[in-house]
Amino acid sequence: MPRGLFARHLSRRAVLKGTALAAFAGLASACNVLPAVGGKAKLTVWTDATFAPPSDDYQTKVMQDWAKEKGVDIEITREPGDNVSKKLQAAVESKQVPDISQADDGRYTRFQPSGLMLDVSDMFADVGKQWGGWYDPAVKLATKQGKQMLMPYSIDSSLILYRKDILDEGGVKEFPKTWSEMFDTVKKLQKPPDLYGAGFQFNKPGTDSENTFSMMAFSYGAHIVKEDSKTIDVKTEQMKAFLTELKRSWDLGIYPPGVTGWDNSGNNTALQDGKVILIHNPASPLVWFRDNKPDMLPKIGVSGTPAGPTGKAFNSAYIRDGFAVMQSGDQKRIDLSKELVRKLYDKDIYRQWIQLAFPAPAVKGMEDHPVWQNPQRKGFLDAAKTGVIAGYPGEPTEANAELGTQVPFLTMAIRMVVDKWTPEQAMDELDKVARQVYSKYYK
Amino acid sequence: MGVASAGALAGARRGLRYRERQWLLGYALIVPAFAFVAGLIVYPAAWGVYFAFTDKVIGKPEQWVGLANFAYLLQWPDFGLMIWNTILLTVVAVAIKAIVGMTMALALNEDIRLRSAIRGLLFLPWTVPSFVAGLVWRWLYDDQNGLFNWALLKLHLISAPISWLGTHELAMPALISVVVWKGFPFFGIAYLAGLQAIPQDQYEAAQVDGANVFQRFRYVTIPGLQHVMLITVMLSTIWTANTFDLVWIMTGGGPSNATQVFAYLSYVTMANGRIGEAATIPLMAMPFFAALIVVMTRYMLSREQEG
Repeated sequence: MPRGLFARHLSRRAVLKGTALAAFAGLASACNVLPAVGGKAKLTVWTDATFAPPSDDYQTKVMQDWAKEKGVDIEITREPGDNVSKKLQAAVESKQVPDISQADDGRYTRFQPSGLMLDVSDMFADVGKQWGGWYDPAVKLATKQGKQMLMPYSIDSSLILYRKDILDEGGVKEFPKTWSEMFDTVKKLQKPPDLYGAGFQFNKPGTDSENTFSMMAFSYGAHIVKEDSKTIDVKTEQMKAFLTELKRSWDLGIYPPGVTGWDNSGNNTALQDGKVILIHNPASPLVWFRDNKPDMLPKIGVSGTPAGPTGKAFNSAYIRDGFAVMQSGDQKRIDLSKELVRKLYDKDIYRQWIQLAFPAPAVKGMEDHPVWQNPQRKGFLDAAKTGVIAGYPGEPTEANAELGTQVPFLTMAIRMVVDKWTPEQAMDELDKVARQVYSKYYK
Repeated sequence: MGVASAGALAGARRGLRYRERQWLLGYALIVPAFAFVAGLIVYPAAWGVYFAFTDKVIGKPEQWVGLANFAYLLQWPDFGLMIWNTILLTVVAVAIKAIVGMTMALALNEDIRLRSAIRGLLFLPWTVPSFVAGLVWRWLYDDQNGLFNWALLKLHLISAPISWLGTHELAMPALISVVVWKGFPFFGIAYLAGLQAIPQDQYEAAQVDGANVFQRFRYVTIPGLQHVMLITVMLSTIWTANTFDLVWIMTGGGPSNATQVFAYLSYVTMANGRIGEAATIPLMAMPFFAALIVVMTRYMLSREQEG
């Protein structure tokens, strides 16, 4: 570089000005304040990395192709676990949100009150019309104050995934109908310490079990709040019966000794490694078997969650994938974001995504899809239609969401098996905690 | 700027005495440091204190709730257990780290074979990132595929896997062992440096006076290391009481809050968006840490004055 080049053409003041401008532009760009250079709109999309990477890759490609066609710069990030939630916390608080964020119904309940998730009721109605309507859980979970601020994309559930080959060998032709029968059956079939009956976590980080135990409690007629979503109703005979049966299952010795220390990977790993006969989980282990042990996949059976003594069985239903168009403050970007989300519901795109992913769709018009001929996947479609949603038997509320973070059913189970509490003591504690939480919302 | 005002400024400058100009320069020079501390420590800390008295939830404006968060947390079923866990983890882990670190330092201070290699090896745990250490130890303790259970089963010493991280009795000791493993090299390094600063003639004089090895340790080594020991124990107490990463990775505070500690509970509450309550938790521990810092600062200042 020739000496003095800068000195001759740029004064110190000019260099300082340039630096300041560059710093401002960089900062503004990082904060998504300015459109990309050249007037090209830039969209930021935050999505989850799921257990089915092919479906993620496909969706990313659809978004990128759309952006290319529209002449839009797009930045798509995929985060594992619940990282998007953590990022959204900071984003919502600083009001520097992405243009589109993927959101499950938990995330929706938490962040929708910020007002930064935009009303997409028109699109919701339009897509519903196109696809012959939405499944009930999708409508109930996405609708708040009569409006939709979330576009549900998939409904997921937890079902019993079991070793069909082991049941067959043991002469069990049909999967047990009730929880009690299921516990007794796996007790007979297990061969500890190599093979245990069931892999349910009894540890708070193992939140899968909150789903399992709440479904079991509902099947016994137990619940935390009444239908009005406000009145605490923990200390009942039904709750006691549920806890007593759960404790009996523990005393049968059907769980691996480490379940009190498992997180959410513990049950998946146990089934994948052939250490347990059954788990209660979404379909992610099926995807793992498909990709890692394909010879094992046909040996895995899928059953709806068992019934309680009343004969009633409950499966959960929740929005796993949904899209929220966020308040960026720029109408052009908002319009483009809506267009992109709408694009994901195009017939071929949505059907192809369902082919690659593992949950069920949120819309009704895909029941002719060939994937449902696979009995392993069909159970998840059935659960999407009829599953119970957060807040049962009431509605999903903020109070319910806050209490949910304390995994109430799982906590009662842990109290009984780890701390050796009686069902009554466990119920008393939950009653007190639930009242404490609900008193913040309902004076 | 007008001519008149420029002249007035120049007059004012001329009016400043040398000492005042020095003061002004001094203040001007500390402005960046002051702004740094104020911006990165005082400002967030002040917000943290403020939020502890509000019902702040992510995405919603906060309202002043006075001491409601403190009352709410004190009613939390396992609040007492969490305090006990934090104290137990801190006291036991720091004590063991100090003993193991001292042993390490004494051994490495001797002229032994392969001293450099052993030093490197013993310092290794300190250099391993906490999340790597947590994941490795979690695997070692794992009931399904862990090395410990595998070895014990193969040796027919147990008939069923042991739930190292899943029982009240074992989870805390298992966690403490990893905290010790990760932290003892800090003591070892500090003590070794302290040992090498003790003049050799003190040992020789003690030996001439007939002091045996234990007496030399008691009357020469311990007094010589006193200030290093105090500072390492205080620093390690603060760090250990704030243990978060290993708890998060290894036990998640379980089973049934058996390893729940201040730092982890605060994180969980924060992750659930409950900023007000999350801010309250560290604030409740603050008096303890503040007292420690005051003691440490006073001690260091007194040593400086003695010096």
